[in-house]
This record gives sequence, structure tokens and C-alpha cells, in this order.
Amino acid sequence: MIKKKICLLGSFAVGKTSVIKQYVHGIFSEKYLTTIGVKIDRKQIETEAGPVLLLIWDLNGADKFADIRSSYLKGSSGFLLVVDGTRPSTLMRALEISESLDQTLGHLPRILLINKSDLSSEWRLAETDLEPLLSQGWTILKTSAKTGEHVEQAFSQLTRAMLESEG
Amino acid sequence: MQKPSSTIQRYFGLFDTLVMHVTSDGQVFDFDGHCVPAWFSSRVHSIGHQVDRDWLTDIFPFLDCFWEIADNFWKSGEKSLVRSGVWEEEVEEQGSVHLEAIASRLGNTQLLFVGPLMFDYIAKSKLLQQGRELLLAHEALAIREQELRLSRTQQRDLLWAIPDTYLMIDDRNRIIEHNSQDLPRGKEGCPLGCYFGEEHLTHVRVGLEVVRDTKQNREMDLRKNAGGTRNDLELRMVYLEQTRVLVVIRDVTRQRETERLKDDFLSQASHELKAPLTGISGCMGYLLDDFKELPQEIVKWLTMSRESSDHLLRMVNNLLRVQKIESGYQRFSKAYMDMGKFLTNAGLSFVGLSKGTGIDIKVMEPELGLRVWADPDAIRQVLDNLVSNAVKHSPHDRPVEVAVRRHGDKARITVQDYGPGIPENYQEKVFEKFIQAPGDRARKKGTGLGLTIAKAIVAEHKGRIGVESEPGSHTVFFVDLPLADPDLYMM
Repeated sequence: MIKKKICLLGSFAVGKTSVIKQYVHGIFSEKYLTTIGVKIDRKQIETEAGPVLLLIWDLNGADKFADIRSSYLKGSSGFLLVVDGTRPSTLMRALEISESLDQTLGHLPRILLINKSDLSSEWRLAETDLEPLLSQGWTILKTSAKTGEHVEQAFSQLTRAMLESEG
Repeated sequence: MQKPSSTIQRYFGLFDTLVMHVTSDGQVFDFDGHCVPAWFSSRVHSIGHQVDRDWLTDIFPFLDCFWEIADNFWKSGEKSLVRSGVWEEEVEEQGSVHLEAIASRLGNTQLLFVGPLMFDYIAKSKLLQQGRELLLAHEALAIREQELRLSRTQQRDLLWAIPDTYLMIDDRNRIIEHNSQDLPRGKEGCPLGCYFGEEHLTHVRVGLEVVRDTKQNREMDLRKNAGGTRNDLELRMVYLEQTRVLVVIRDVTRQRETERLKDDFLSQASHELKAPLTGISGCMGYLLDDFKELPQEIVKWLTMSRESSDHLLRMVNNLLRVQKIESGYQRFSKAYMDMGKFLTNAGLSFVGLSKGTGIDIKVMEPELGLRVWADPDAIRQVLDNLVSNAVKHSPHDRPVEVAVRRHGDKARITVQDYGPGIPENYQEKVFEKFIQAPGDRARKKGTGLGLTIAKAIVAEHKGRIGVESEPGSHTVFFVDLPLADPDLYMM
């Protein structure tokens, strides 16, 4: 069976763990619990190329307390860069991470998730902030780990992109 | 022969750790099968004494990113150990376990430890959690501060755009921002007395205090005399955050003058009209009452004429009444009234107001002991006007409900009907002269002055009249009268 490693990256408290929990287990908790180190989940999905086993790496959020170890990213086929729509600084952080991915691993498939769409009334990121990224070719999805909006789509779209990029 | 891994495990008591001896090619890991940690055996149901790298990676995919680091360490001969970093695993019946792999060496023996080896892990993780929560709070605060700064700038820009004078007053009653040409500018601000004269200072201070205490907006009228000219000012006090109060001051001298001229004209015209109208109405009555043999057709037309002139006369009388109250010429004989008892007595004669309509006027059980200082006849007129207004607009099968209750430091009289209601944009206007709401309410007969009279009387009693209406459901007119000081009442 095809195995693919996906890493979820982004600033702390943007909802990376919650997105995975929603995708793999269909659950959501309001309580913020910081991720220590790495948590790996597995999910098998059906694709046109046959069944694919996704190894989903949940990396602890990048901040002044902890950095992303480059060794953790080894063997990755794609990335979900997660942003908190209520905190504009997390978009900057995601773009910085993306740039560093380009330098270390080359241009692997990635999708930008603007998470917490259930709190869209409190969002401080506007469409105009995202338009330049769209024109640069970014795939952007507005997700909610709480309601599950676009979560499934994010993983299936990334899987398709990973399979296509590896021929 | 005992395996080195087993010796270390037993010697150091590492029973919660999987201690493995790594074969020379680095692919196979040998361990003591009798001394496997509980978290591992509960997770892996079938296990021999040897595992290979691929098998272990399949169980713990995290190790995939560690092998290269571990290999380099085992080959290099430097340092005493190398750590993988923490990862989290779900273990049956134990929940979440945080693990770490450590590559180490004992002479030429390569060793691999996998287990919850970070003794200070709990303390560290708590610290990390707290640190991140603090960072989040700090971020939220920074965003809020930025928004506040922006909103203050917008607020200032907006205030500059209005033609009225505005004063921003801080909690020490200092004017910290303004657009007045007459006031100095400076960071420290200036005292209230810079703008308001001695005669108004106390009044304004009390107003500001009330606004801060109640956090509710307040309106106030002032008459300012300066340099031989008199100005009527309308003050609107708006409570802002951090006990700041925005005072918007509008000079309404011209507006008041126009209103006075209009009222004078109406009053004069009414006086002039009253005498001939009374004469016309009297003559019609004389014709109808004393000439019994008049043809039916003439009686019909005369009756219509008399009804019209009577209506006009009522309107003129009401106009004169409004004018008298508003200009302060109306004398009120005020007394302490128990509003509950008053309403109970008044209720007995409400029947006359609904005569012929079949509408039931219900006096809800009133609250007793609500005493006000008021003119009973004037309050009775207010009540009659509100009840007859409600009857006019009430459907025949629904009651009109009248009640009195305590409302803060006021006695609140309410008159509720279940008629078509008043559109929101007309609710403020219904108390103005000759204004009637469109639709069903406007089609009812009336002079259009009943509510204006009620408002004028209530204002003379330092009270407030208002309306709350849900179109299509109900309308409630309310009158708030200040409760009399009980100490005064006892005197």
C-alpha cells in the first residue's frame, strides 16, 4: 500500500491537533492543550490510485519556546500549513515556515488552511490579505476543526496533489 | 549469557524503558523479552527477543527521523548519547504516553533506549503550556490595543466631522479633547469651568455623575447668557469606556425660536378661531334643536356641518390647552397620590371610554404604596387620553390592559392594546402635534393632540412618557412619574 507522510505545521494554538482529531477521530474539544513533541496518527483513504495510508505528523507549534526540528520533516510528501484566522501574525509565521520548507526540502505540495472559520466574525484576516497568495498559486481552504468544514477536503486535496507530484 | 541490554535494564531499574542492544550492522535490536515495559507489551501483542529496524519503525513511525542521527552517533564516537525528541503514543488502557528514544554506547556496545525517559518532562510540559497560554493572552491584548487605538482615531475623525461642539470629559471631569475654538489645547486638558459658567457647573457635574453611574446616555438643556446674548443649548452626554463621557453640545437657539414663533402663531390663530367656531356650532345646534320641521335632507347636512365644526372646536381647544401647559401658564394642583389606589378608582369610570365598542378595559391588580407628587386631574387626563387612544386602535375581541408598577425610582403606568401596533420609525413621532402613524392607526378619528397633551402634562410632572410597540402584535404606552420622597410624605 502507498504510504504518505503529511506534516501539519504552523504557529502554536492555531488548531493543528484539533484539525487532525476532527479528521481522524471526528471529535473536537474547546480546551487548548499544547502539543509536546510530535504525535503521529494514521488514516487509510481510498484514492483513484488505490488505498493510501496517511501518516499524519502533528508537530508542536513553532514559537519562541520551541522550534521545528528539520529532521522531523524528513520523508514528508506534503504539508498542511495551519493559520488561525483570528490572529494575523500566524499567517506570517506560516509563510516563513513555507519559505524554509522550500529551502530545505524543495517545493513539495502544500495547502494553506485558514482555520477557525466557525469564529469568522472574529477573524482579523480579510479576503484582501489572501488575494495576493491566491495569485501566487497557493491553495487556500477555510477550515473549522470545530464544525469539520473543509477538513476532509484539505486532506484529500493534499493527497491528490502528492500523488500527482510523484507521478 | 546475559545480554548487555538486560544487564543495564536490571542494574538501573529501567523497567518502564525498552532497552535494546543494537547489532553491529545496526539493523537488529536485541532485548530481554522477560523485561518488556507494560506500555510496550500492551501496545504490541506479539513480540520475540529480537526486532528489526523496519518493524520498530512500523510501530513507531517517529523513529524514522531518528535513525540517521543515531547511526551517525554510533559511528562517530563523540558525545555520550543523542536524543530523538519527544513523541506521543496512544497506549491501550493507559491513554497518552510521551516517549523518547536515546542512542547511547557502552564501550563498543551500541544501545537504544525507548521510553518515558524525560524525568523533568511533566514540569517542562506544564511550563510550556503556561508559557503558550501567556503568549496567547499577550497576543490578544496587543490586538485589542491596536483596535482600540484605531477606533479612537476613527472616533476623533468622526467627531471632527460633526458641526456641533463636542467635549470629551475624563473621570476627573477634565476636558481632554474638544473641537471648541474657545478652549485651550493641551495634554492635561482643562477643567469643566473653562466651558460652563458657574451657574451651570453643578448641574453639568451631576449629569456627568449620573451618566457614569448608570452608564446610560442623558440629555440636558441649558440656557447660556454671554455678552448680552442668550443661547439655548442642548447637551447629549454619552458614556464611553474607561468612565469617559462624550458631551455633544448643539446650539438650538434658532430652532427654539422658530418653535416658539410657530406655537405663538398656532395659539393666536386658535384664539381667533375659537369665538367664530363656537358661534357656528351654537347656531347649528339652535337650528337642529329648535326647528323640528326641517326637511330630512337639510337635517342631514346640518348634522354633518355641526359634527365638523365641533371637531374643529375640540382641536382648537386642545391646541390652546397644549400651548397653555407648554408655556407654563397651566396651574397644577399637586398632591401626594397613591397611584395604585388612584388607578383602581379611575378604572371604575373607564367603561365610558369603551362605550359601544365592546372592548374590555382591564385594570390589572395595581401595586399599592407607589406615591407620587402630582395633579390628580391632570394625571387622570393623561390616563383617559392613553386609554381612549388604545380603545380606538384595539380589536373588539381583545382587552385594553392598564397597570401600575414600580420601575426603579419611578411609578410606571402602562396602557397596552393588541391592535396593529406602530411602525418603529413613528414611535418617537406619535407625541408630536397632529402626527399619526400610517396604516390602521391613522384611519381612526381624533384631533391628533391627545398624546401631545399627555406628553406636556407628564413633562410638567418631571416624568417621562414613551411607547413600545411590536407591529402586528401589541402597543404599550408608559408613563414614568418620579416616586415622592417618603420622608417628605411623612411630614
